[in-house]
Order: sequence, then C-alpha cells, then structure tokens
Amino acid sequence: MGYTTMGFAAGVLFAVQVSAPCAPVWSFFLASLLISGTMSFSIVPAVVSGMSLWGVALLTLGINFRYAFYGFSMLKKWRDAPKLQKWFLIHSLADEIYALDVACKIKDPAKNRLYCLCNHAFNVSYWVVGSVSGAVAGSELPIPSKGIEFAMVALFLVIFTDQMKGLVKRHD
Amino acid sequence: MTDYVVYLAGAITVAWLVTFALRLFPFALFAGKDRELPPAVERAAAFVSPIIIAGLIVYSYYGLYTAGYFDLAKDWAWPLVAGALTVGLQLWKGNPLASILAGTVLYMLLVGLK
Repeated sequence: MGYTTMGFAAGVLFAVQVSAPCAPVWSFFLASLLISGTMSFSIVPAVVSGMSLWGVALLTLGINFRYAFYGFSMLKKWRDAPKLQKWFLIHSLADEIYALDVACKIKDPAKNRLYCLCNHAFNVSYWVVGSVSGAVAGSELPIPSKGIEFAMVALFLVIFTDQMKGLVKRHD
Repeated sequence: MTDYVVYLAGAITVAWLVTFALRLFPFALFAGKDRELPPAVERAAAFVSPIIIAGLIVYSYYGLYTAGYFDLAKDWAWPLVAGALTVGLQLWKGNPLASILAGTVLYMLLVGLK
C-alpha cells in the first residue's frame, strides 16, 4: 500500500515536471530499474535542471549510499539462492523491502528465502504499478501537483527520524 | 527532442547502475566467504547513513526555498511547519505513509492556497 502511494506521487511528479513524451513508459523504466523511491523523486529536479551524467552518478551515490550496508545482513540468508533469484533479490533491496526481510523470523533457510522472494516480487509490482498509474494520471488529468515534491523531503525526514529512533534505542 | 530522450535514458541508466552497484557491494566484497562485518565498521555505518540523509534534507529544503512557490519574507515558515508535522507524526504514530501524506498535503495546501 505504501509503495503504491509513494510510486503514484513519484509518477505524478515525473509526468508533471519532466517534459518527456510518453511519461508512463519512462516512469515504468525508472521505477523498475531503480526500485528506489528517494532516487525516483530526486532524479526529477536533476534532469529538469539538465544536470550532467557525472552529477547524476554522484547524486545517486550520495542518496543511495545506505544501500551499500543492507546486503551485509542478507549474505548468509541468500547464500544458496540460485543466480537469477539472487540477482533479483539484490536488485530490489530497497528500504521497506529490506525492513520486512530482516523482520522475517522463519528459521528454515529455504522458506525464509521464499518469503523474501514473495516480499520483493509483490512490493516491486506495487511500486511499479503505482509509478506508472501516477505518470498516467499526471499526464492526462489536471491533478494539483504544485508542492508535491515535498513528498521527497517528507520521505527523507521520515527515514532520518527512524534512524534517530534506532540510534537512541541502541544507546539506552 | 531526440537529444533530450538520449539524455533522459542516460540519466536513468546511470542512476540504475550506481544504485545496483551499491546494493551489490556487500555480496561482491564477501563473495564465497562466510564472514561477518567487523563490529567497528557496523557501528561506523550506523552513523554514516543518518549524516548523508541529514545532508539530503538540507539540500532538498534549499530546493523548496528557491522554487519560488511562496513569499520568502512572509511565508518562510511553511516548509518548516509541514516538516514539523511529518516528523511529529512519525515520532507519535510511526507510520511512514501517514506522516509523508499529511506533510505533503499540508504543504500543497499552503503553497496552493496562496
């Protein structure tokens, strides 16, 4: 549910601000390749301002740096996954998906992996469906979109708030 | 237009490759090995991420203040009010979707009603 709504907002933002033909098609690729809400939002002002590709690479590195740490908790769990499965699991290791993977208490390794796989597949499809329908709505309907970019700021604020909660809890 | 399409495809590809490389990093680092991250690195990582996100918050607030949606002299508090609502709700209820929606709707109302 969260992924559909955030995807929808990202899709609307993309369709309204980036003057590209066939916004839903772009939105589909953006959503399914990146599977990163923060980056789907952040790339919009970047391409609108005509940022260089090096700039985009640096921006992505900064924004998604946290992903470099998520895999460490999954090394053992996914060690025996078949190649294709493993690539898909790694490709779609986003914030909330990761949180659900980590929270899974199933002991049996095969079943745990199956849980992760379903979790990834479902949430990715919610995210992509949300993004594409947002882009369709944004390009076809006169949706009020002024200020919708605050969703990205709010997303950062929520991530930061939760990180602070986590740090405080650890030092209790 | 063709140039713009090529540029847009390039930007999305670059963002995708960097994102994927970051996700792959732990698996590539410990490929075939049964090792855990040293505790010191794990503790350091717990601090690096919030610092980056804090930087992003400052950067995106800069974007809000330079978008020209509101009168800087009169309505400078609007982004802060919407932000406070978001953080407050997140601390209180801990529901990310509700916090983001409430903050965004409030902000859109503030800049839209002008």
